[in-house]
Amino acid sequence: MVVHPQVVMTAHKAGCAAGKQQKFAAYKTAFWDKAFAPYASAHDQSKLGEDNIMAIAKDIGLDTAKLKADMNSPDCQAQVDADMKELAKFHVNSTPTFFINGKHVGGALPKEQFKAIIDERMKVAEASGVPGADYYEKEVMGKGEKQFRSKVDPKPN
Amino acid sequence: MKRIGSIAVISLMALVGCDNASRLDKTTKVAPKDTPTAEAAPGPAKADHNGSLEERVARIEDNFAKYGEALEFLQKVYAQQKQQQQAQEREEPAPDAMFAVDVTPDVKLGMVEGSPQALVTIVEAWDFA
Repeated sequence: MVVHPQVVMTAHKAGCAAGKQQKFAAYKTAFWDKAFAPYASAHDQSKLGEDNIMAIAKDIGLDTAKLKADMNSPDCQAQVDADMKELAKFHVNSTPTFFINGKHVGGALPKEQFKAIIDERMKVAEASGVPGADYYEKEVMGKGEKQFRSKVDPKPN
Repeated sequence: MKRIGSIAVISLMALVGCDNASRLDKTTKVAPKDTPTAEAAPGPAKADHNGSLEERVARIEDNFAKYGEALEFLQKVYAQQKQQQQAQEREEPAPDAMFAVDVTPDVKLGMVEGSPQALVTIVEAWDFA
């Protein structure tokens, strides 16, 4: 999900397009290594641009013509817009932000803390008896809060 | 902040002094001028018990007026800080909340990693920059 698409719209649309070729995970990993890392170390904005994205896509075996077409399709634009709208509902305005089975985790936590939260959520999920395939839809989407609630707001009944 | 804290403590002491001064009602006796403790009383924390009741009340009123501006300033600073803190807290998510973030469109588009049977789903919000 994207927080600041104006900065990285091309990269996110490419993520959407790569997903259509079932290669989102490969694209994401390759992008971090071959685009974000050199961009971060040398502040080279061109690394986030379309030319480099196409080179990365080719390297991981994506159909670049299809990728480009999908990137410019209304589908991928709508996906980025929908992500933004969804995140705005939960007041996400900084990165990285995570929701672990609906529990908000802001910022980059040490690995141990992250693991502890996952383990705790896992125990809750196991105790529910709901199968993994249904858990997010049934428990998190079904029983979770549909909009942001701050620590000073009362818990809904 | 530490400095403000010190001023606040001093102000509080002054107010406590005022509370103690309520014992004025019971003390009508004027302290002799040559009493060493009364002469050597340093600083504003030490109450001056000299003079008649009227004189002493007038002194308290003068002191109150003198420090009134500082107290008002402190109150403003405190109110401002409290407001900022409340605004910050209003933006902090409830730690006990389970938020229903809809990822259906992302899943449909294949923007997902891991087993669909997993009990834990992590929604990631990040930018490639």
